[in-house]
Amino acid sequence: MEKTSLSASAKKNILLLIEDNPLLTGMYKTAFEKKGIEVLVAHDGESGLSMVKERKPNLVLLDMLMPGIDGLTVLEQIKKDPRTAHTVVIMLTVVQDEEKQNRARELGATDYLMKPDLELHEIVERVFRHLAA
Amino acid sequence: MSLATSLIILSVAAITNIVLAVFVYKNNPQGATNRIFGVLGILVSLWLISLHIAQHPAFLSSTLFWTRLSIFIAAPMSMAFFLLAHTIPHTRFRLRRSQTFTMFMSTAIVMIMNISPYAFTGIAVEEGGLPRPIAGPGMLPFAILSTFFSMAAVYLLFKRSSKSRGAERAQFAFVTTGILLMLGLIILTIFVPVVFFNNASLVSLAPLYTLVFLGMTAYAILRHKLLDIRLLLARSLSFLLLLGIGASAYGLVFFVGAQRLLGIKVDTFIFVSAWALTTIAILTFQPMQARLRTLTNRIFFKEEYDSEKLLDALTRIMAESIDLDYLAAHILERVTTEMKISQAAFLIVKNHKIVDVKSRGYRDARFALSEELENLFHQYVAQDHHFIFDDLPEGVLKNIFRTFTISVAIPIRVEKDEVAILVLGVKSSGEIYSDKDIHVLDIFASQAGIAMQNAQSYAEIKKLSKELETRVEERTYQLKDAQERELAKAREVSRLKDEFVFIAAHELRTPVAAIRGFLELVAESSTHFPKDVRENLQAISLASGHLNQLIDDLLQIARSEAGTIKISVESANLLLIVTGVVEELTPLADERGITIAVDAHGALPNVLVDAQKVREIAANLISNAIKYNRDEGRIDVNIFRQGEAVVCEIRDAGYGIPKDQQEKIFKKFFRAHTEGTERVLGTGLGLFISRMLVEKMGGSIAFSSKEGFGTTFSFSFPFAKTGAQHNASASA
Repeated sequence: MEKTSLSASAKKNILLLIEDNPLLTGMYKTAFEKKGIEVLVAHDGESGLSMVKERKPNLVLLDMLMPGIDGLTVLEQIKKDPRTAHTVVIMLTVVQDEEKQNRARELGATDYLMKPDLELHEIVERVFRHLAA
Repeated sequence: MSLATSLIILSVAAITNIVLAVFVYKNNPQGATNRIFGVLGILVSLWLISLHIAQHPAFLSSTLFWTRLSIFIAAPMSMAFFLLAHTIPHTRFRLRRSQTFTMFMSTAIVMIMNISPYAFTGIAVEEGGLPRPIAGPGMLPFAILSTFFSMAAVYLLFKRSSKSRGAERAQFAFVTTGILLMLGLIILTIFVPVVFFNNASLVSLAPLYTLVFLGMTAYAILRHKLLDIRLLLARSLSFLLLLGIGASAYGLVFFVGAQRLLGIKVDTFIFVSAWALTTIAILTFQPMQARLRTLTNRIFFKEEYDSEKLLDALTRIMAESIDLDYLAAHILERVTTEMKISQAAFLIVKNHKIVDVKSRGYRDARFALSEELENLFHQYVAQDHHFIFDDLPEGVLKNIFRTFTISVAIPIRVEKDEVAILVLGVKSSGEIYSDKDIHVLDIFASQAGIAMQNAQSYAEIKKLSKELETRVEERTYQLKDAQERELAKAREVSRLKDEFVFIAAHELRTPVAAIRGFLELVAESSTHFPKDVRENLQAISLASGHLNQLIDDLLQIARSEAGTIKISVESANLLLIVTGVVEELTPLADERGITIAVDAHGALPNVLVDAQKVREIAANLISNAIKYNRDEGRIDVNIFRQGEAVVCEIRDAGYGIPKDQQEKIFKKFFRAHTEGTERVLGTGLGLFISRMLVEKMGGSIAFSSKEGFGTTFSFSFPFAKTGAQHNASASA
């Protein structure tokens, strides 16, 4: 019952996944598309940024550690640009680092998710909660 | 002046001259200088005697003979004088053969001429009855020869004296002083009175003046034979006094006693023979002689040092210190002061080489390190007890002594090895080293060996210990450096290890997350799969969960060991934390029908902990209690106060831990094995991490177990001193 209500409320949502690991992008893409969300994938910070500007996603799932521009910089750029500043950004990471976590919140990240601590369905649920808000 | 007086003077002069001649000759019968002096002394005596007889003849007819004889003797005498001036102080004749031949030939001719009737043609008798020889043309060669020899001799003496150095110079000084004194006295007492005052009363003193010259010359020659002029003078005076007393006694007996009382007339012959007999008698009168000797000694040797005292002082210095510089300085000071020596030095010898010099008074002490002295050392030092310049034959060694102004060198030995050479320069008084000096120095040298050797060893040890100290310092520094480098390396290795574990763990987490994510996606549609596939998927899920836990634990250990684990303590209620964990784990317990009962007793103060970490610890221990329990079992969690701490006790009624495994359970990767727990999954890191965290927060952890009956784990934390106390009631 819950599942159907989630998918119904997220019909027009676009989610941008900025993540360098193809294993994880494949997994998240499958999981979110199953819920009826359009998923865009960028494999690095730069292409991620341009996709944010072009496609104007509702929500960005942003990996902290990437080659090239790192997650915090991408977040900063999104929030600096008035055209994209309203975008919901959720940080994804494997590292428990309070400093970086605080910095992300300061820069305007909506949430901060530890990949290993959460099961896939938990992550999906968290994302849906933010989309609904 | 009476005949008796002149006779006495003649006797003294003649006898003393002969004694001197014999003494000097005997001292070194091989030495040219000594031989010449011997001949000269005897010739002078003979000349004096013949001259005297010629002037006081018993028979007038014999006057001519004695006069001729005296001039006959005078010729070789002047030759001997010349030869002496030419040779002194050497031990060999320095004239060439042709020169010697010419000299002897001309002297022989003059001698023949002198004894012939051509020199003195006859005798005239003067008014006072005194005979006066008449000189003839034959006198001319003698006049030329004697003038030549005398002038040449004096010239040679002055010239050679000005060229000489050190001890030799002093020797020449004595000879020339003797000549000048003799000439001066002759001028003062004979020439001046006779010519200006027509007074010949002192003429008969003339023989004594030869004594002055010969005495000084003898001293010059014998210097090196350690004959002190003062000794000579002192002895001469004592003899003179003896003779004076003898003469007085004689006068009393013969003139007063014999002539007056007995009426015997005393003639010259009786007088002379009686006087001689008296003299002999007195000379043999030992007690008086000794008395006179001490008396004269007291006058002449007043300033002399006391050998015993000097040796005592030197011994004391050697006992006082072991420092080589101190020893050398003080010994040299004492010796040079007491013996009145201008320069002295210790040449320090090691392994038959001169290695150092400690000098006093030498202008350039480094001379001692010259090759010549090395030579001296190698060729001579081992041979003798002491080396005295004047004793040395002409040669390398003597030249070395001359060059460096060394008068005496005394090797100082320990057994047969030389440890030093004591080198002494000339005496500041110009005197020679006396027998006593050498004797004292010999005794000192025999005593000093050990002291000098000890001092040298001490100096070496001092130097060595200093070297050692610097080397130890150096090595310590190097060691420290190496240690620091090792430590830095070890730190780097440790850091790299931690980094590796950290990165590895993170890299592992991503694929594990992917596996678990995809498993979940598959599981959502698992209802389509057959039962066995579903079971297999379940197993994969379980394994990946375990893998995830393992990675978590490893990461935590790595962080802890790297010191990057963060623990932020605050006042917290232990009961609330543990209750929360129990609630979380209840579903897991329920799966196997296990009940968990939480019980708290009394008022529980807050503890100072990191709540998140305590949660981990409690979860670990309680999940262990579930895993290792029997189905339908029971777990009791008791929280209570004990002293100043709050204790949490978790008791299960499971399989327990075998005794032999109990001591290992907190070890990394250790897992207990008992019947019934084979299928329990675990990483073997839970207890290790739990203990580590408890200890990091200042608490303690313990357990007790009985195999087959269960295990009780307990951990405790001290009260938070400023924390608020919470009342808690029992809850399930």
